[in-house]
Amino acid sequence: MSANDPGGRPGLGPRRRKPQRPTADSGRIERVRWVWSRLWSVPASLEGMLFLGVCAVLGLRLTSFGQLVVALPTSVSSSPRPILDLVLGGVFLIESIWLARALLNARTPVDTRIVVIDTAFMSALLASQYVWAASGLSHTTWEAWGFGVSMSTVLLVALGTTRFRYAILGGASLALCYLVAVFDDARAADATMTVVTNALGYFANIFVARFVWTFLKRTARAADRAREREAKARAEMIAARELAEFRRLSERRTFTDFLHDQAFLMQVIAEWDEVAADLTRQQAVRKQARRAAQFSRTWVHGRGQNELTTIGDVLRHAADEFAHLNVSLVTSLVDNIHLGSEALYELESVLRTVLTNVDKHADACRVTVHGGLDEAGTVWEVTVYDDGVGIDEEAHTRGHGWGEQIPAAMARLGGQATYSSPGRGTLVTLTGVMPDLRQHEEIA
Amino acid sequence: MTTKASVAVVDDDSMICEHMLEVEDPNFEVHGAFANVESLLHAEKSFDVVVLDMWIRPRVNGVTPMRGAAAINAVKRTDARVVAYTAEERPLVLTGLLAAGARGIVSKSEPTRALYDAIAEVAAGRKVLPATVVGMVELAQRHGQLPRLRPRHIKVLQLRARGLPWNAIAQELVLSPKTVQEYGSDITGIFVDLLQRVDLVGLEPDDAHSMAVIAKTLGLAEGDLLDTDLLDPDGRGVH
Repeated sequence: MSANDPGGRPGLGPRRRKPQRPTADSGRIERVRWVWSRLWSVPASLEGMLFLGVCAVLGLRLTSFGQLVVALPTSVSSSPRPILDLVLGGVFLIESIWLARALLNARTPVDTRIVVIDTAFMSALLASQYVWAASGLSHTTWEAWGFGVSMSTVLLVALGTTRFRYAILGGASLALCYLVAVFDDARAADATMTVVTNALGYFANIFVARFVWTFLKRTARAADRAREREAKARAEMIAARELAEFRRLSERRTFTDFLHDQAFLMQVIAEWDEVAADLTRQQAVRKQARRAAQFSRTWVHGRGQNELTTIGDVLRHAADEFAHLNVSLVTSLVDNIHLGSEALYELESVLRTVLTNVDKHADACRVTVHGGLDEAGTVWEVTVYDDGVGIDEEAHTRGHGWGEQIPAAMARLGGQATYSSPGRGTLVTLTGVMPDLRQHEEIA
Repeated sequence: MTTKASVAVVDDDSMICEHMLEVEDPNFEVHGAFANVESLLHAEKSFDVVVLDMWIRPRVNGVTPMRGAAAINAVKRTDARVVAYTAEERPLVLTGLLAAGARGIVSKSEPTRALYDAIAEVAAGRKVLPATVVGMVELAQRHGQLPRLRPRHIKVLQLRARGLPWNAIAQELVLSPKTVQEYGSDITGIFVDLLQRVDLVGLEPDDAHSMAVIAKTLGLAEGDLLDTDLLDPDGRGVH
């Protein structure tokens, strides 16, 4: 498939556009195209096959009716009972309309009631030729139209009977009535062979149509079975995949709980009087508790390998890296805020420095990392709050991180870093301008 | 002299249950510990607060015990206030637990002190939300879902979402801690009202997410915390 031929199929030429359902504004051609496309949308299944059988019977009946319309003037002009000839033509039309409705409702020709009624009607019509067909002309289709219009009934008998012997019985009924009506007259007109071959033609047509129909039905059934097998296999595959995913999640949750419970117990043990009395022991137990918590967090998130594309990703990555700090993460507002890869790298670097400081100096029980955006959506903000010892402004001296590294990185991000001590603990605030606005500012 | 709140713990870890029975706190006393919700309901005792482990592990015979939203619903019917104690961290799932009726949510990764404080807060009639859920409140406010919040509420909400304790917020806004806590209580009340009025899906920020992703994020997958199939028509457990 070439790039400038997106709808093309190798060796088949460009793919045609599928007609759309017509609307009130659609033109006549569009409507015809839609109906035509619907005709070809019959499913390749047994159900579709049966409906095609209905279409074949009704198509043949319509053709027969067309032939009748052409033949009727000749027939009426030569008939000894022209009124009866005309009335029977009307009755044939009414029966055809009933047949069309019944078959379209059933959507299958395999309906014993319909087959029996139509066969009986057509047999009677054939037999009635004895009364209204012109003498010496009852074997011709222009003057005696009964045989010509009975072909659709032959097809219905072939397709609609449940057993082959019933089809033969239906054919015999038609052939017998035909012969009863025309045989004497044909013999007088020296056309015996004509009517006999016509009568045998009923059986031959039924046999051929039945043979082809049975083969097509078997093919359609095989296709249906193959589709069923495929659908079942696909459903089983999906169910197995869902079950495996559910088991995996359940197992992960079980382990997560198990690890969390270990962390809880370590925390409890750290608070025991005999442990608390020995600072070294308590620190060791606390370290164990943090390690258990870190294991569980890593187990829960497992995000280490994910690519960083948003501020939310950076915050999650940092929280994973410093899981032992018991980081609460709030990323809802920045989960969809994309920065360039360089900017994300800068932010990640700054955040790592901030959290390293917290880890080394804060002695905090809890750290909250929050990502936000101002109301106007022009400035993003990341805050890191810890409930640790806070900052002693008088004793505080700025090291390499706070003195140089962070301000430089934040300047490259078009923002700044500030810190404060709201009561106990430290709040670090990192802000930056959204990338689109930075570009506008730089251009200006 | 104030009466201590009566507390029950439901946790499948026997050591945690035993520890909680020995906790001494001026605000509450643990009077019962149960391995699962069914045992708690069977005991037919009344408690002020029930600390509910959200993910009780299946028993040896493979029977899944009542848990998650179903467990919260069942315990609520005993008129006890529920503190959900969970390792779950997905904000929308935690929000769902709040919508199911939990009065407090405490992460298992929090220090034990945080759990004791939460029990005391819930016993006093307040609600306790973890920072991630406060983040969801902030998100809902940004999406215009909480029009009843006044500017001062919003300021308190923003500082709370950043992890600041009530005292620090009070200092920052030059208010008394009690006033700030009242603001916090208002915010929680308005958010819970929202949860009970609107579809949780309305809180989803990314419209590009499919329903399947939202359901998964909400924890609606089979056997997950918000699985309402664990409820019978009367809202009672069927196990």
